[in-house]
Amino acid sequence: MAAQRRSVDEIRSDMTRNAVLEFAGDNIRTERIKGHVFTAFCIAATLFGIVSLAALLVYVFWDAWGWLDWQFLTEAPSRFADQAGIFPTLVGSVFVVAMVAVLSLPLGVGAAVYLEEYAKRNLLRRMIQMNISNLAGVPSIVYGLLGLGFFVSTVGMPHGIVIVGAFTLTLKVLPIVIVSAQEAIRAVPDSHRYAAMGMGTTRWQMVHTVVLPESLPGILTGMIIALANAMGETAPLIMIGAATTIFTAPHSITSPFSALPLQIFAWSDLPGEGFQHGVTPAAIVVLLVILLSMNGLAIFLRQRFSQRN
Amino acid sequence: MMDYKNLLKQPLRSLKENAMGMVFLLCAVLSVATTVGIVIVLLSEAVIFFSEVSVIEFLTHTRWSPTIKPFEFGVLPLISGTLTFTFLSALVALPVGLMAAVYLSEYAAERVRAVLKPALEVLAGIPTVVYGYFALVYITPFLRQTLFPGIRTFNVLSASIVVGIMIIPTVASISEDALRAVPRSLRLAGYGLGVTKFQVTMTVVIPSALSGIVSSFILGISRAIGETMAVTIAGGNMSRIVNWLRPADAFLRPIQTMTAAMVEIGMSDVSGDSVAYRSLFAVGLALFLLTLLLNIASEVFKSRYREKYE
Amino acid sequence: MSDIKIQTEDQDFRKTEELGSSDLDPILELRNLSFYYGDFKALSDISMTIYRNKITALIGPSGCGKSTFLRCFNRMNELMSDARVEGELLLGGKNVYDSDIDPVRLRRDIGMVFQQPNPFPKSIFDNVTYGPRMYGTRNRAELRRTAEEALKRAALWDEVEGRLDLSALSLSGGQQQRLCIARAIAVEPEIILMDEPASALDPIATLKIEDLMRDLAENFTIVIVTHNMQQASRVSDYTAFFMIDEERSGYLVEYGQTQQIFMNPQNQRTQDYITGRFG
Repeated sequence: MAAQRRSVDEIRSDMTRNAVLEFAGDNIRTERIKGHVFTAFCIAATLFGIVSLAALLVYVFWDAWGWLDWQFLTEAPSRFADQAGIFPTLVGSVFVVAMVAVLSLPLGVGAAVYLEEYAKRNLLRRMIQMNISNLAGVPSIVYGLLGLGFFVSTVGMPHGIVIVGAFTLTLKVLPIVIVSAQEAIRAVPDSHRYAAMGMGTTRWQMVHTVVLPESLPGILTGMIIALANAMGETAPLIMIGAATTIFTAPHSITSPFSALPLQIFAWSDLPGEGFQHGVTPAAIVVLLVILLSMNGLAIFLRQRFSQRN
Repeated sequence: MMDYKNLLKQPLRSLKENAMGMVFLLCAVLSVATTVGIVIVLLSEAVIFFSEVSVIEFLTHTRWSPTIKPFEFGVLPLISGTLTFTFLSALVALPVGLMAAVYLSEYAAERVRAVLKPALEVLAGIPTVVYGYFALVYITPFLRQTLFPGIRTFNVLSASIVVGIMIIPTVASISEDALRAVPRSLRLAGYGLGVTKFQVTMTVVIPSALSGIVSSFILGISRAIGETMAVTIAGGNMSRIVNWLRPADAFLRPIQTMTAAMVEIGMSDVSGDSVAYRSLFAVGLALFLLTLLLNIASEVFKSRYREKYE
Repeated sequence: MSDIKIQTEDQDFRKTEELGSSDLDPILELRNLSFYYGDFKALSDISMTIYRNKITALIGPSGCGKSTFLRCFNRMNELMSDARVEGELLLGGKNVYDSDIDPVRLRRDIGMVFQQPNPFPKSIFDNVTYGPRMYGTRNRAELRRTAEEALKRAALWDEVEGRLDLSALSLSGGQQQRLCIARAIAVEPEIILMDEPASALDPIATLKIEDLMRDLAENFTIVIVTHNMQQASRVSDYTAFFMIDEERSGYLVEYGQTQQIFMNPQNQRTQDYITGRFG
């Protein structure tokens, strides 16, 4: 009996070891190989867009080199590439975006304050919320149609003036401002609100002395991102009749204007090395640098904001 | 004895409070007004348009020519153009976006993710005009020299590629959220059964996150449909019905999407009272409804995956 | 094919064993096993033997590392953090931590049931047959047989027969846990690890799981972590009592047959713990 048992033990432990090492065939090896191939593809996918964009940016910076000088920034556009500049369009861009800032900040923050501080959590609020997210998904050209159909045709404002552009773009970026302002306001802890109201302040007092100051960095960050968005918009401005090329900078809100992306659009149609590989890349670089600084500022603000906490 | 006069409501202060509340309410209502405004503007012009041009012509004719005689307002070529462009963009953005999401969610170390995720977001921050320019001036010549010597200067492929790249972050970030929402315990259950990470990812994680992934796909497609400038600059402005059965013909030649057609009309000298002007709004209405439906569908799928794990 | 061969031979040997006197057959041996999370020593110098077809319970105060210890058996700790092991854990004489051992393969031999039931959001059938399908089995008839046998062994067949296409999430908590057990059994591991399998369940479901364990022990070796001492004394053949030392490392205080541990503990600390909670 003992002899039998011992060999049973031995054989069993052999079998167990073999089972650990060779169980269920070689399916694991194939699956592992598949896994490695898949992971490689996934990494490639992640890098594909980034690398492609990096390559394109290198190309455009390379082309812009030599064309981007002080003259470029201070001259007006011209039929001749080597005399062309972007000054009036740059002024137009800055002017319009500044107006968008002035309009969208109070309107956007006001809406956010209403939704977060005043509105009861009922169906109406949910509908307004859904409405805002829907607006965020509407193509920007449709906002151009709104601007055209309402501000120009119905209200009767002239085509292509600064104020119409500003109104139209404000409506486009408002959802972004509202949503990020809401997030910033929500981040303010309730305990701060209760502390204020417990001391007998009114709702409005509590909002403007406690909630808004605390959420200001977050609100500003969202604003800057929205403005960067506005800076790159083209289609709505085309629809409301903004010129794609302009020779004098706008001087009032009723002046006609152009914007940097519009100029890029116009120039991209013009043949010739001077435009295709000279002036247009230079304009693109200017636009990208402006956007980069704006986004960089937003990120910087976000860091400082979280550091303070 | 305490004087209760201090506790009484003060009419002026109440008035101010109510006024502030009203002001904020108006701001919020503005967003509703915007939507209403869009709908009214589009509908009012479109209705007049359809009194001059029959809906049948709009929906069935295969020629779109709003400004050049003989005028014809068949929207099918534009829809064909939009469909082709969207299909190609999706071909780039959807698989790449999903795989990037899988990598970031399942495989990437935290430090790698902290760098790559913002890097991906940059793709979405480049204005579409710039992408259009890239397509026309860099991508098309590149394709001509390497893969497609017969490619035209204006073609739908180049524009689709750059817009696909632009949409990758949209697909990737929503898909990644959905993948991360899958509870860890499910992965552990899979590993505990002696199954490789690849198998667990493909057979447990991705299927569990499917609603969120579908939501990201729909949103990506919606973005491609609404895309304007890249396809206007690089896609040419030739409205035609695209024949998918002959891909070289279909993808290497110019097209015109709904959005590009709208830009063409917007830039031409049409009087505010003409049929051509109003056709702009008819197409705009179609575009608006299409993207609205897709966005709602995307939200529905998104809420389904949120429900699952919360 | 080789796994089927092993299985039949095993059954023959098991029958032989039953004919003979009940004998202890060591299946897993731990020698001076210590476990580290990074620099932190979570488990200190544990030596014990797990016997085939017995139920071994791991008990001790919460936070002393019982679950961590359990996860050492199937190398699940490696998936969670910076894990390092000293000492040996021998399965069939071979240290499972050797560099030539594939942990994925190891987990096919040592299965695990978790504290919170974690069925996949798939049908009952797809859950139970998940392991075999992942290992390459495609034959529908074979999968159905495997599913039926596993569900029967897990005492769930009667409740789900004919409804295998329903989502696993439509089952109650207790049913889901039995499904997870069926899922673990379906791949026919040598050892099943259970990490507080009934703690998330109501008392009736708990009793069902305990009955189940006794049946399962006929074919599998079970190691179970439990914070419920009554459960340990009801269900297990062997009990290991753990505590935490001054450096917050878990260590083995006493290990032996359950009857002996509970009625006649050798170590004072064991005595204190048992009488403190059990008396």
